[in-house]
Amino acid sequence: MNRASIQLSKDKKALRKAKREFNITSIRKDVWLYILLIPGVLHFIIFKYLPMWGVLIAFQDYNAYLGFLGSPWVGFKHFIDFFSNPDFTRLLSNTLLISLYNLAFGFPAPVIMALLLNEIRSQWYKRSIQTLVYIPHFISWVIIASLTYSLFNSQGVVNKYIIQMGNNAIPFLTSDNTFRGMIIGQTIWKETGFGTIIYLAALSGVDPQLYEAAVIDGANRFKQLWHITLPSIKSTVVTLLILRLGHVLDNGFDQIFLMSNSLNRNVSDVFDVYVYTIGITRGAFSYSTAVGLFKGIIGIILIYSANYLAKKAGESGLF
Amino acid sequence: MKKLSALCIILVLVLALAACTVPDSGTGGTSTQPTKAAQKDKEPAKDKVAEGPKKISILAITFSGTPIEENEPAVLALEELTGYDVSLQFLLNSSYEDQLNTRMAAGNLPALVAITGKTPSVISYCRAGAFWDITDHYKNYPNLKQANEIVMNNISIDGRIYGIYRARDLGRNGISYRKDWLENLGLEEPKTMDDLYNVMYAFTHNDPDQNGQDDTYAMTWCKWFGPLDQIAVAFGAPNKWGLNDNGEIIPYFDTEEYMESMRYMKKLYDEGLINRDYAAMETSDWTKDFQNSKSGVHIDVSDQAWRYQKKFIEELNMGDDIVWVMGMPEGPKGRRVQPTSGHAGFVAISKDGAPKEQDMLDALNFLDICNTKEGQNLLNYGVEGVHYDLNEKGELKRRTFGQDPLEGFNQFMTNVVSGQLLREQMSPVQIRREEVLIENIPFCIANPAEPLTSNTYAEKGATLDEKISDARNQFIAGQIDEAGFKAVVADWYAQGGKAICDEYTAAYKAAN
Repeated sequence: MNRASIQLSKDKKALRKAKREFNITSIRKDVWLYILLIPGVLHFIIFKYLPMWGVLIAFQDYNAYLGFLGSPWVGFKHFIDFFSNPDFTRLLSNTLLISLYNLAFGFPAPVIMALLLNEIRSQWYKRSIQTLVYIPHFISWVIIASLTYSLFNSQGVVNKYIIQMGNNAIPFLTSDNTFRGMIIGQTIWKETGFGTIIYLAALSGVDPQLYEAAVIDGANRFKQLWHITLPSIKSTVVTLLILRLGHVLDNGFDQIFLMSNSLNRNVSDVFDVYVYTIGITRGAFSYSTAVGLFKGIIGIILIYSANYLAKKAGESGLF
Repeated sequence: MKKLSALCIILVLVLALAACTVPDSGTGGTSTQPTKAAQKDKEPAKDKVAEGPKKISILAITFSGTPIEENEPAVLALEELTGYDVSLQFLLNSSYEDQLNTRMAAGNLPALVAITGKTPSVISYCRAGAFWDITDHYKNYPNLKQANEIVMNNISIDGRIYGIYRARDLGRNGISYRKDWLENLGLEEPKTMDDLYNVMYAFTHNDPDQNGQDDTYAMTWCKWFGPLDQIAVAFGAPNKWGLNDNGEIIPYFDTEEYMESMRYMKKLYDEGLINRDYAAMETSDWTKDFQNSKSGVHIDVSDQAWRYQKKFIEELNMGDDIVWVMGMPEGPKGRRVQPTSGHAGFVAISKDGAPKEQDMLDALNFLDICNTKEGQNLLNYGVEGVHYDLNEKGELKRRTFGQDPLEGFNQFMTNVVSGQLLREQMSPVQIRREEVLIENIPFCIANPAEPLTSNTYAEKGATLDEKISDARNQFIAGQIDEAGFKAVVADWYAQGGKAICDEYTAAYKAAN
């Protein structure tokens, strides 16, 4: 009702007043909802926005003993060091390649799996499969890395089989050529099942009448999938894709850190691990903060541009 | 409805992502680091009354993750001996330096801190004044003043001393091997590096355990480059840094001898005498294959021989003459042994944990008492009648425990006064090990850059070192050839190595 009265009023003063009234009355109306909101807002202010000022140490020669206020300011020194470092291009291309492979192979996997699960008739079978494919998500990367190590090392099961077939053992763990494949494989194994949750939720919202109508019109299974199922989860896919693009420079520290060694360093050196080794093990906090800030800025740019493109293409986008 | 549920999904996702977002300094991964700050202060946090015993808190290293507990008789005995109220904290060895950096950054250090070495961050914290400069103080204490000047010089930073070194035997490095395998094959203890190769070849191909199966190989390596460096020195390369004909400091990997040692290692690798995945093997898995009788040679510190032997006896009920120990055999340039630095870092006094000068003097006093005869024996062996017994000859015999109750207790032991430890009743391999320690001394190759500081090295050294050690592994695995390795060395010089050499050379010439 308030909304309607605002739209009717042409007078600006009246409009402002009405708006104020609207705010107060609506707050009064939903006062409990606003109270419920407070912890969340506080969480973001205290744990996200206040610590964010810490990025300023990227412009300092930060020494923890001297503290934030005592450390000298050095402007863009660390950024210049970073961009002029010969490792920069290698880090960037390694990071991007792993991300792109993950996007190309890892992103469609849960969509496909959700579609497959959706076609299963027997409910208990579907549920138990669903539960089973979730499980790897809850296994930590440390365990997965050691499983990979014992399966794929030179005396592991996989190589024993390869040797029995009369081929030479493949150095899966210690070679530039196999590293990315191992990483993508691990990610797919671990995350595909869990990724299906969102798509299955979206699929359960599709109106069954659409399928009935399609069947009457003579559509087969594949045509139903193509014309009904896929379009109805399209917006979810786009949303997730946008979010995913914001993380193109994140490869997941634990996984890469655990799988990298000196024989695959050429392809396994990525920003996440670099920030860790420079910042934590070598104590160069300012420099690694500069690298982290660079990553964050690229992430924001990518999210915004992906969102813009999605809107251009007629999707609702994120914001 | 649909819109609402979609909104909910997005909200949940955003929250989840926010929760996973790496904080600005990129510390997101530290949660995977196994943290073992095992003991918390058991005392109430309130300020103590002035009359009570002085307090001392210590941060040390644990290797197993189950460090000594605070009600352990040895800790109580230490409190009684020193008159201090001791509280201990431990961090796991494999992540000690990372964790120490984080603790230093958080300004959350106890009074005494075991420092493993002069890492860049340790240097920068010492310079910034996070630790007490004790150069002018330590000599006022009767035991500490007996500390070896050369080793003290080795741990100094810009000529100042920030702690008491944790003494280690210079000639501690050596090779442990399976004596029974050698005897099964009718071979002799190797005298030269070529002999060593032949023994290793036989350990791999001639069925040394005589079980009729081809299930053994010679030597296990891991990610850590220690054994490779020992071989490099044996082949005539300098120990980390050397002097060229012009008296300038050069890195050991820029020598022909180093190349030669790499060729030797490549041969070992190519012929399968070494585990093929060594570059991916964690240090904690390093001893497994030897322990499971899969490999039979281990290059590390010579103490390892007795540790293996003990496990063979206690856990596998095998004989007591299985493992033996030797010094590094003769290379093409004669016998050359890589010594330890004489120290494994130092115990520093932090200004966080000892804010006032009097606290620092108290901490030094504590370290001094730890270097008395009683203090050293307590830290090294524990309590008589609990952890060890003395036989009629006055020799000491340690009791056996399923899990070492003293683990980590000797990590803040400094032992700057030598010759005070009780004599142990030793097994043959331990006696042999003591001999190897002494035999090694005349062949030790000193590192001329040990006491020197280079600012460029402090800043970039670790990153540059990693490039070289990666390139060595790549050469051994056949990913790059000699020209490729030389290109990496050239790259090393270009990216800061030249500056490091110049700084070291200037400092070296100034000091000598």
